[in-house]
Amino acid sequence: MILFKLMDNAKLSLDMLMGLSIFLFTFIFIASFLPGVFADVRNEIGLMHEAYRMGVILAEMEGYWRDQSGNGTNWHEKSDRWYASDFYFFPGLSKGKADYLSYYKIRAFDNLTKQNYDFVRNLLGLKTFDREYNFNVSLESLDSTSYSPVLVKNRTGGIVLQAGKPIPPSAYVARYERFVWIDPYFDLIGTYYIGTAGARDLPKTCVNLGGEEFECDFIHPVKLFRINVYGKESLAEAWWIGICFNYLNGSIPSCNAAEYGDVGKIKVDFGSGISKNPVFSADLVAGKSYDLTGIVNSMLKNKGLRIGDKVLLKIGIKNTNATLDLSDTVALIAGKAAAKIVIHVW
Amino acid sequence: MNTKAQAFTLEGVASALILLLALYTLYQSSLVISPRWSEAVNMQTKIKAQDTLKILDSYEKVDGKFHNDSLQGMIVNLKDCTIGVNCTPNTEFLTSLSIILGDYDYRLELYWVNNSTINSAALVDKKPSPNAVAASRYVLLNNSELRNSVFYRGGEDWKPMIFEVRLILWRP
Repeated sequence: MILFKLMDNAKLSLDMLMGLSIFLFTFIFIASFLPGVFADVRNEIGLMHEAYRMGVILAEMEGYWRDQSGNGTNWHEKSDRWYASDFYFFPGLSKGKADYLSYYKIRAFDNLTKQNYDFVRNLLGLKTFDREYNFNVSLESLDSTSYSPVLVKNRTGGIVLQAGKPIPPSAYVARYERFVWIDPYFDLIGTYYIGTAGARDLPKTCVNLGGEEFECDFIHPVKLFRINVYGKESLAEAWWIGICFNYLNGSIPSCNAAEYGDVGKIKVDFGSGISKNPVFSADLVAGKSYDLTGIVNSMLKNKGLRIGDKVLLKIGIKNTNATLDLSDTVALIAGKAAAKIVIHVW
Repeated sequence: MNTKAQAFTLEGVASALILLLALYTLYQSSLVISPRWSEAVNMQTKIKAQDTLKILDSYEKVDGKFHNDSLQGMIVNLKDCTIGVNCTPNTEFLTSLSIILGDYDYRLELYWVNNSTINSAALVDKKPSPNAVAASRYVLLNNSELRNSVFYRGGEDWKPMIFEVRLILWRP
């Protein structure tokens, strides 16, 4: 006969069981929770890779086309063959160097994406048998932000590149930017004849006051404000250019750069006209360009104007052949029209 | 002393905490590598620094002069860098740089070789944050193009000079 004997030593107490239970419960919870805790971040990083890859394709690759007749990189000039079954092409935007983009390729890419979004998604590898991404690409001003986007416009006011699906307001969206410069840039910058020798071709926001003056509404800050002086209209007469700014509710009765007897000058000032001590003054030289972008922007900033504020501009011009290069979206940096390609992938 | 070999409250809780601590340390050190990979986070900043230098690198001349806001124009206009101080880029260059970089903060350095020694100067001397990234660009200039700068060497017009412009970028 076996006798069970209850022992009153070597027992585990309830406290020990509780401690062990707490530990095991926590251990199991952590072990099951950890693999999923970074899932969202992994997803975001996956999107970032796609956005980066798309940035490289658009900003660094020239693209190519190939068919029975030959091959080349000018795929943008073959729009009539894009959908042909024996035509193969890839839409890079570069002109052979990284970040150096062709204006015509950008426009062609915009058209192509608007015509057939899925086709472009396939070309860019964003739609495969197991994965599918959406994208949106745009050409924006250098100071453009996600909460205040500024799209680059051409000289006729049309948006140069904004293609793809609308960006969803709530989802994991990877944003990637590439600084680029665009060539040729004459389509991106308005060049207006403001001289006295012929008919004036003024920006849309300007009114020709006849004779020697015109007035415009102007939005601060400007990306490019450059006066190109070609020479005098009549060699015997005096010449000058006055550029006056004032608050929108102010007035500029006259913008006469020679008011104090000082001819042969280009002057910039703020207020009701050109004062004795203008913000900027330089001798007029035939064939010279005067890039006043920085001077105008810092002057308006010092006068308390904020980004997006409207301001009054009056230009007085006497006996001078000149043009005005103006852009509110593209900045001329080191002689290059700089902007940024913004890519969203989700 | 108690001879009944019971585990008491304090020992139970302490052992559980020690085990949890050991587990936590183990996960932190090796098992879980955070996917917030620093290169992925800094990739965008690095590309921006490289793109910025590419835009500023312009060999184009107008009336025989480089654009003042190009890397070349900036270097040829440096007047006093012989001992690496008082090297200040011209205003147009700094304005263009700030237009491109917006709210990024940056440090700008210049390196060049003089008589087999590498010289350097901080053109914009700010202290980078730990998450800063760097990009550099090499600029080659003929001695004749450096005539008005501190780098001009008389009688050596045939000898080109190489500069490295280093841009260090970070979010303030």
